[in-house]
Formats: sequence, C-alpha cells, structure tokens
Amino acid sequence: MLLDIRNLTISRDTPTGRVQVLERVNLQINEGEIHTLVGESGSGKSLIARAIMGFLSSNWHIQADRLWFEEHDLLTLTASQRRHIIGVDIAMIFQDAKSYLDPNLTVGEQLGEAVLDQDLSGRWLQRRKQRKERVIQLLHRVGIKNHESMMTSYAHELSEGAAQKIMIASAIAHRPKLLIADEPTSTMEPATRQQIYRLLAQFHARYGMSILLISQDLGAIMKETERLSMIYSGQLMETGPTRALLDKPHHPYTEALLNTSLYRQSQREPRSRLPTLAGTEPSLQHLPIGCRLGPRCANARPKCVQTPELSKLRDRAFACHYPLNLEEKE
Amino acid sequence: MKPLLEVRELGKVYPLRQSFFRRTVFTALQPTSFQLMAGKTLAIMGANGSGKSTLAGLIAGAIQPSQGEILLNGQRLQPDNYRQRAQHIRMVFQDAEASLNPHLTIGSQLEEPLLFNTGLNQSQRRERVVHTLQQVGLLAEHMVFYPHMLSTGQKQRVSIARAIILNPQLLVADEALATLDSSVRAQIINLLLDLQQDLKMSYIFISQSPEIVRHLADDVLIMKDGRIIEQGAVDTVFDDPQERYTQSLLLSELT
Repeated sequence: MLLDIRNLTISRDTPTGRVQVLERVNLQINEGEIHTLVGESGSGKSLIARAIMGFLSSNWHIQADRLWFEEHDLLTLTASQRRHIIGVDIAMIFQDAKSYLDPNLTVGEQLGEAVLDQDLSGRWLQRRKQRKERVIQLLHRVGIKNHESMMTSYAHELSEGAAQKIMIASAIAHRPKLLIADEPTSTMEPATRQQIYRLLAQFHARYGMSILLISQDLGAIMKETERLSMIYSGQLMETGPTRALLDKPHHPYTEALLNTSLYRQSQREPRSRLPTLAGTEPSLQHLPIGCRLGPRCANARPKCVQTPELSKLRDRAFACHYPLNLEEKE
Repeated sequence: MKPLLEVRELGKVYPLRQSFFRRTVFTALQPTSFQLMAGKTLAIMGANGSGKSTLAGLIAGAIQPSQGEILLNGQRLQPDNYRQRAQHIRMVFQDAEASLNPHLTIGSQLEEPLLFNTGLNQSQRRERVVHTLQQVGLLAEHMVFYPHMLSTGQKQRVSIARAIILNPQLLVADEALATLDSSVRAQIINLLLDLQQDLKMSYIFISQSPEIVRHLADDVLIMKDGRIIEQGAVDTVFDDPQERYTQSLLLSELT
C-alpha cells in the first residue's frame, strides 16, 4: 500500500462554529495504480490532495485514523521530515499550470532547479553542463522536441498544454512514486487533454509511477484508470474498480453523475431531457445531517439522516443505506 | 421559409502593424456565409484560435465586422445600432461569475436591459423580472440576492435569465457549459431545451464538446484558422466527417 488514508476529517472554524468540510474519507492507493477521484467543485477533493502534501494552513484542522505514505505517518512528521519525504517521492501538478510557473525565470532555469543534485554524477565544474543535459532530456521525455527555444521561453509565452508539460517534466524530474494531478486538464481543449493523459499513462507504464488523478467530470477521466472514488460534499460515496463502478454503480450519486456526464450518450435520444440531480450542492453553512446527498437523492428515505457506514463488497465499497444494482445479494 | 439569421461574407481582420508603406493584418475570420432557421440550433466547433469566438462576437455585435453583413429576418443589422440588436440577439458567456456585476443585486441586473430597451414602468419591470426568474428555475426571492450568494449553476441561470428577459429570437452561447460541473451542466442543458421549446428561440452554440453538440444541435459548423471547413447536419458531419481535422475534433468523443 503506497498511500493509506483512513477516516480523514478536515474541519475549519467559521463564525457559526466548526464545520467538517471533509467527513471521514477513506482512500487507498496501491503501488503502480492509477486512481481517479471524481467530485464536483467544492466537494473537497482538492483538500485531500492538499492534506497529503501538507499545504493546508493552520486554520484547517486535520484528523485521521491513518494518513500513511508507505511506512511514514504523515500526521506526526515534522515539517522538515515531511518535506524530505514528499519532495522526493510525491509530486503534484495543478489545474492552471501557467500560474504555477515562475514568471521571472525561463523554463530552462526552472527545470534546472527541479533536477536533484544526487542525480548528477560529475564534479562541481561539470555539473552545469550535466544539469542542462538533464533538462533537455526531461523536455524530450514530455514530448517537447524544440528544446532550444522552449528553454529560453518564459511562462507567459507558453500555451496551456505546453505549460502543463513543463509542470509534468519538473514533477517527474526525481521519479516520484506518487503523482497527484489536481484537475490537470479541466481548462484544456479535448485534443490537448488527450495528449496530457497519454503522457501520464506513458510515465505510469514506464516507471510504474502511481497517479492520483483528481477530476471534475466522469466524462473526462483517463481511460487507464484502474480505480475510481466518488466524493460528494466532503463524503466518500463509492469506490471500486473503474469498469465495475461504471457498469453497475451501487450508489445513487454515481448513477446520477453517469447520467449527467453524457457518458452514456449513445443510448439517449438527441434533444431529450437529461436525468439529473434536483437542487444545488449544499453550502458549508447548511450541510445536511447524515448522508449529505440526502436532500437531492431520488431514493432517499427517513433512515438517510444517519450517516451510512462504508460497506465493503469484494473490492468495492459504498456508503449508502439503499444501494442500487445489488441482485446477487438477494 | 425564410431564415431567421443570414450571414453573408462576414469577415474580420485586425491590423497588426501599420507603416506608411506596408500594412500587416491578422485575419481572424475569413469571409463566411451561413443561415440559421427559426427555432433551430447551430453549433460551432473548432480548436482555440479558430475564430469561433470572433464569429460569435460579430453576430452579437460585440465586435465590428471588417466586411460582410448580417441579416435578421431579412433585415440588415447595423453594426453600431446596439438597441436594434440587443432586443433580438443576446449572449451568454462562459464565466458566469465574471459576467455578472458583483455590486448589484440580481433584481437590478435583470432590470437593466428592460430599462434601456423597453418602456415598461417599475411594477411591470418587476413583474417581468419575477417571471423570468421563474422561467429559469429560480425564485422571486433571488431578486434581492447578490451574485456571490449564489452557486455557479444559479449564476449561469441568472445569465440566461438576463439573456432571455427581452424575449430575443437568437441566443449566442459562447462555451456557456464548459466550466460547469456535470450535474449542473445537465440542469442547464435541460433548461435551454425547455426554453427553446417554450419561446421558439434559435441558439448558436459554441462548444468543444462533441457530446454536447450532438445532444443539442441541429447543424454544425467546423472552423479552422478562421475558415469554415465543414458544415451540415450534426448526424451527417459526425457520422461521416470528411476532413481529418474534424475527425480529430470528434476523436475526443467518448466511446
């Protein structure tokens, strides 16, 4: 198990009291696995990534039964120990790649900073040359052929796709075991998205790098994804192998997202009304008790005001009192 | 049957560098012509920089054309006559957040087009605002809300309300669905379909998503480098794309 998160709760103090933005979320990632976390905006999916990386400021309160990366308990580590582990073994790329690049440095200089000293074998005087060679190698690896012009470019001169490739290049510079990709392609046009996904899949296949992909839309996930986790309003709804989950969702939320994501479009009449969830996502001040999907769920019943426990069924798990598609149990 | 909208040889060039001897221009849109029937939906697809937003801006009157003309119901639209155009052609933008004024309540934002374009008195305007809010699935109480108090989906509903409050004949949606969550997107798609049925509006939809285009549109234009390279009914173009470029645009469609 590469990453093991049990009952992660992240809360924040507000004028009306402490609010649990993320409520008892479980997430396990095996070595060499691509795991996709799907949730709509404001569901807390980026919070999980930030909690792993330790980006959250002190007004967020993190509690967990377990927040382990390999054999390290991330909650008890000091900041410097944590940086030591995370800096080498975990890397993260973000949604708006351009704004995460330094506007004052050229691409070549920034990538040079990402190259670790221990990767360079030569003596002190040879290092400069070696570093440059390594940067060129990294650029080639992410599919950028004209390295000369790219290395002297600044962030504002790049297209979105190119900027994301630079982010990926600096993320893979020290061969991390886990790459967290927080909606890396959500603002890109479809063709560029495919390119970035192909690149990620390639690194996954070549180095056995695990990927935690965070996505807003079920219709825009990597096809190589092995496992999916659905998160809604800070609660984990369902997790399981991609195929099984998409073919036979147990949780009404997965079903609803599948219906709305145009994923099953071939089965639908053009210009027909799409089945969708009623209402809007609850705000943090007015979170419903129990299952947070309750007020919007089509088959909600009185019992749903108690938070459902995560029930395990072979390699899948779901948090619902009245799951769908469970023929074999009867 | 006469078309609702007829675009003839419409083009846009931007001057890049002008010297005494030489002019360099950037052609954002080559002369294009097409028609749109009443109550139909036209989708425009293309990669970034293919001129699709320029075309939308020209139709909505946000950009002045360099050549060509636009006819609405056989009547020529003056490029600088905003009053004539604002009544009939309205636009919905990608980022609802940025297109609403954060300092004004929803009620007063919706009232503004009525103030400028109609002779309604205060109580009639109020009535119209309430009616339009209900049309897009919001409540009369939302009049006193400020944009930040609404969710993204509700904000996009308000932008749609602002667009339809003058009973336009044509709605231009520039990537209006691109940044929405999928469940919200489905709600907005349903809303747009209902409104089209009730009000008999025509839509021009700019989108990069083949799924949305296939679901919503009757006809599609494929644009590349400021030119229309393929056009026709959605089923014809999608099932048998002639150009390689179209194929690559459609490849991103999920199987």
